[in-house]
Amino acid sequence: MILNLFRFFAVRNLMSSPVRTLLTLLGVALGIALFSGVSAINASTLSSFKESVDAVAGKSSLTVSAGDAGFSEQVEEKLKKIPGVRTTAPMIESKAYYRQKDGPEAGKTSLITVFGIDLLKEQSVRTYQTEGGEVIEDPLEFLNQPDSIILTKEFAKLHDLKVNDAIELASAAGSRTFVVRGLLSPTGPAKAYGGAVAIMDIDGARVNFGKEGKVDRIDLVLQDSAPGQPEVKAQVAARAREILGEGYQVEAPETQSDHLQHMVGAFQGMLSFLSALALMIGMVLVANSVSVAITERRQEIGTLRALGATRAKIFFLILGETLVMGSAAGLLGALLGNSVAHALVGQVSQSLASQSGMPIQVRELHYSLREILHAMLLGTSVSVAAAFWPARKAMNIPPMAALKARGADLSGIIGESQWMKVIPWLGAAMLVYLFVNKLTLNLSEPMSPALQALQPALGVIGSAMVAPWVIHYTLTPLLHLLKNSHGSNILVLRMALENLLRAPSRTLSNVLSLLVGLMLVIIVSVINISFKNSVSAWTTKAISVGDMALSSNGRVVAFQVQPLHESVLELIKKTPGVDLSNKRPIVVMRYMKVNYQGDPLVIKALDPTSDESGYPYIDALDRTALEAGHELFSDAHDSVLISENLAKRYHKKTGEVLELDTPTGRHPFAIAATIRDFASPNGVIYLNRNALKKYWKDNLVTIFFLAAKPGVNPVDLQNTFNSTLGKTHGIVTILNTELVGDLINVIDQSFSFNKAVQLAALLVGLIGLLNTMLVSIFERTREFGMLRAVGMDRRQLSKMVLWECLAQGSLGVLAAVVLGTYLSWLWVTVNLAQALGWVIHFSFPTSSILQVFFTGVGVALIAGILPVLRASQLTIRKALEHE
Amino acid sequence: MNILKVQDIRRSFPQPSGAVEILKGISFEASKGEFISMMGPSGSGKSTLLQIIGGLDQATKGSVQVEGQAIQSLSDQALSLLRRRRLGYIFQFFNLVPTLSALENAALPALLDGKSLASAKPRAMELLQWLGVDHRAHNRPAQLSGGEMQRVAIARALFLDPPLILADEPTGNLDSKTGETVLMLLQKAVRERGHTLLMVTHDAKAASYGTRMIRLEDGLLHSDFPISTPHGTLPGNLQ
Ligand SMILES: Nc1ncnc2c1ncn2[C@@H]1O[C@H](COP(=O)(O)OP(=O)(O)O)[C@@H](O)[C@H]1O
Ligand SMILES: [Mg+2]
Repeated sequence: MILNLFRFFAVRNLMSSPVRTLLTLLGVALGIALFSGVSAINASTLSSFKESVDAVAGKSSLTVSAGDAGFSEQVEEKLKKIPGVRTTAPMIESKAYYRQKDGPEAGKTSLITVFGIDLLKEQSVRTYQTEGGEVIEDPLEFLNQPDSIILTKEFAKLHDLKVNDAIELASAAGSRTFVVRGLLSPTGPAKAYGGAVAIMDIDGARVNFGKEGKVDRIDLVLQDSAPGQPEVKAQVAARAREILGEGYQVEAPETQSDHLQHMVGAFQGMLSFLSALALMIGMVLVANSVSVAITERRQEIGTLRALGATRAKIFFLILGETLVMGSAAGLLGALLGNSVAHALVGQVSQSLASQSGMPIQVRELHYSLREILHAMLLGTSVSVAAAFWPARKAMNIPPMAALKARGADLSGIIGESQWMKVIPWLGAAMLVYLFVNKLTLNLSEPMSPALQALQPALGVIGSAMVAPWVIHYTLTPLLHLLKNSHGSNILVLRMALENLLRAPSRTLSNVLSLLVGLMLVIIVSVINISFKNSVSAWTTKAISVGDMALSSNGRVVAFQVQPLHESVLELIKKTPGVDLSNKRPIVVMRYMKVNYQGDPLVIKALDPTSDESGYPYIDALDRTALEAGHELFSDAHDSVLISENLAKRYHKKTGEVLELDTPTGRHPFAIAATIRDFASPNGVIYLNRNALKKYWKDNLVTIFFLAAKPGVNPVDLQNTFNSTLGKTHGIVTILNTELVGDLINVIDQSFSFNKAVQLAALLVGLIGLLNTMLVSIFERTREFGMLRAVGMDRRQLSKMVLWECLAQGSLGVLAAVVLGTYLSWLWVTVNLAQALGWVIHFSFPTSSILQVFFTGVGVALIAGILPVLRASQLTIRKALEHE
Repeated sequence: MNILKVQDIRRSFPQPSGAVEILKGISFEASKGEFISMMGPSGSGKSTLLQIIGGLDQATKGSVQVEGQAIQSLSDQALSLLRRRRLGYIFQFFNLVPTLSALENAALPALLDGKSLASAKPRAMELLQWLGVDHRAHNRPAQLSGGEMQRVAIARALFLDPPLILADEPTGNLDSKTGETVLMLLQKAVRERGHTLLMVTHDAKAASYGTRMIRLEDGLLHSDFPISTPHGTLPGNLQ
């Protein structure tokens, strides 16, 4: 019987209000699409990276590395002697920047990872195949020409390059021309990083990238003793660590991608959280739709009950109906999710790449049957879960309802039960808890991960729960005010607002679905703006010593450039117009990633400047810049300055000792001061560059900051550099103002994917509003007919409907502004500070409030078009006959 | 002068089997102070005729003049104004705006016309008092009984003193005792305030409150004759 009932009742019902069914379906599908699209991107990013790591690792079981500075090539001999090691393969791994010479993208730089390899040793570790399928034809020729480079077919095709073409890459001596000697087929390392890799001879690479006498990594292939292999591996790793000391990482390829996961986890978590919100709005939509349908069919359900259908049957009937709709929505969502994933993957992986400094490129987006099934399952379960409460309500409709004529029962999801009184208090309690938590928070105590994850959720749910108050305490006084004003427009507005109060839970669900979307807009833009303001204020201060920055070609703002030989400094000094005084010295900086207690930290090593400069580039917090700089560069002992987030994270204070692991062993450094620096969420260490030379054996320079002589226009000096060092060495000169601008662009870029999430959330909100407005109008058809009959004109009726939409939009805006500002303040001052260790100043989002206002009202207007049209085209005669 | 002049009204509805003519040429006139009861079997087109007269539906053919003005040539806006200012409309049920108080419902035509509630209040109170529901002035429709709702609807219909009031089975939803009171009040409105009332009913007893009876049958005016009205007395407070 239930099947028959289902066929004749449920399916027919879905069909009987096709617009509602379609809108609900679309809303859920959008939420699903976003959620599964984002999940697919996240998973594909990690697996692509893992594949790249594996492709580079080849047959090796262990990799030895020591950070950006690399380490002595002599280490290889020591490793070879470890029992169990069959072969070793040294490698220089350099991020080079390729600048397109001509074509539509001329001047654009793209990252290419260059592997400097010892061809003779490679065979046992990795395979390279050129076009014909054979291994590199003439290794000797390849070796003898240091300007030789081999690209992948993929990269060559993308950039329109052929064998024997010349390409320009940044080297330590400035940009250099290389000749393409061959093209690799996509096997082995050529598959890594989306094909953006190249190989050259290791000796050539050493010279070109400033790694003379060094290697960046050594891969170890172990003797195959199949049964006991894991043990051999563990033994070799332990032995290698013992021999090499703390400054080295000895890792299996499997664990390398964990670092990436660690680095991008927070970012991906935020993405997932935002897309989950869109899904939540979809659930509100389903709950609302189903409960409206139940209200409409009250009599019908009563009849079924009177005819002997059990309560359980009614319950499952409603759930079954939702199941049909939910799986359709899941299917549609899965298909849309594929497009979402494809549309966003570029942006997301670009953001991730620029944040992590790793060449992340998603080669293959995994969106297969598995993802489709997941999405369908998600759609179905989310819809059914959302329909659960309304279905329970339907179950409790008494058989007597069949006999009663349907009144104007306009109640929505939850009904106007006692719960509605308690819920706002609960929500308020959550928001107050967050506030108390913020006040009592100790930043140096890391928050538990559970609480960290719970905070945003509590904030959003708490906000949703206090929304009824926002509605009530806005509308009630407003109506009170309007009561004493006159004019037919006021009357119409009043009636519109009264209508909202009359179906409070329906209004609530509309306001909620708008609220979540709009709150997202506010939160994201507050974080963005606060971040930008703090970082650019700091950057402006930090680079105030000079007028411009010089480096090789690449992404200077993120320090992602090929470092240069320090001899370039002499060339710079010779350029006329450069201020060489002690007061405004050239600041020479090597930027480097190092490992500290397993986390990636940033070292900024600086050449000493004299006290006369006043060290304006040091933003010292607990001492003066002069004291901090003076001590950092004093010859008495090795000193460091540490960033405040590092101090907090590792419980370090000025006056204490920081031990750093270097390729020459572990060395102690006196902490001279705590400073502010935003270059890394884990922490930044300022070092005297002499110490870097001594302990890391690194004498490269990432950036030169310098000032123009008094009376020389910095722009003119920039032009001078462009026409001299720019031409001869590919040196790029960026003015401070441009640098800050670039920085803001980078920050904006990593927030840009949020636009898609916001758009989807708003779209779901729009669909929800449209859906309920249509239902609400349909339900009031007769009332509208009556109003028209007693003299309300078309304009007045249309205005009333429009006001209802606009009022709900405005309520959404109001709630979003109030709650969103509060939540984003918490987010900036608590969550970001916790997650990133940065103290960021909250910036009030004036512009985004305007944006939210226009968006909210715009959404309401768009959602209002169809309902207004329907209301105004109402045929009075038909309306009056409407049951 | 004739308040209402109905001439050769025809109305057909398109049906799958071809157009069906519901009204096949109805003509009659009504003058000031008349209380016309319109009867006829269910489905004979009484409501349709009333709607055409009230400008809520378009006749396929024929003309309606209210106070000498032909309504079929009016724009929607002008028709709305006509309904608001020159006509009163009372339905069987769902007569009031649920979100407005009884007082505001009574004053609705004036409010729609842009008058302030303050300026409309004395008149509304007077009418509610006259109809014996002034104690309910600040209640919403949901808190009123059926009879009280109908009385508020009558107050609304009388509010701008329209020459013509149209009522479609105003007592159809009420028990006979309450219905009787409503009918007597309608009668009182015609007698004391000089409105013209056209009331559709299928209840002979209700019809007997009128001064004239019109019967519709098969889409035609079957009969039209004056009736003499006895009539019961209103409860003391309403006299
Ligand atoms: N839109 C329509 N389409 C077709 N037939 C209609 C339509 N509206 C009303 N009718 C028919 O017109 C006839 C008269 O209806 P109505 O005026 O409501 O009758 P009464 O009020 O006398 O009971 C009915 O038979 C009804 O079915
Ligand atoms: Mg009728």
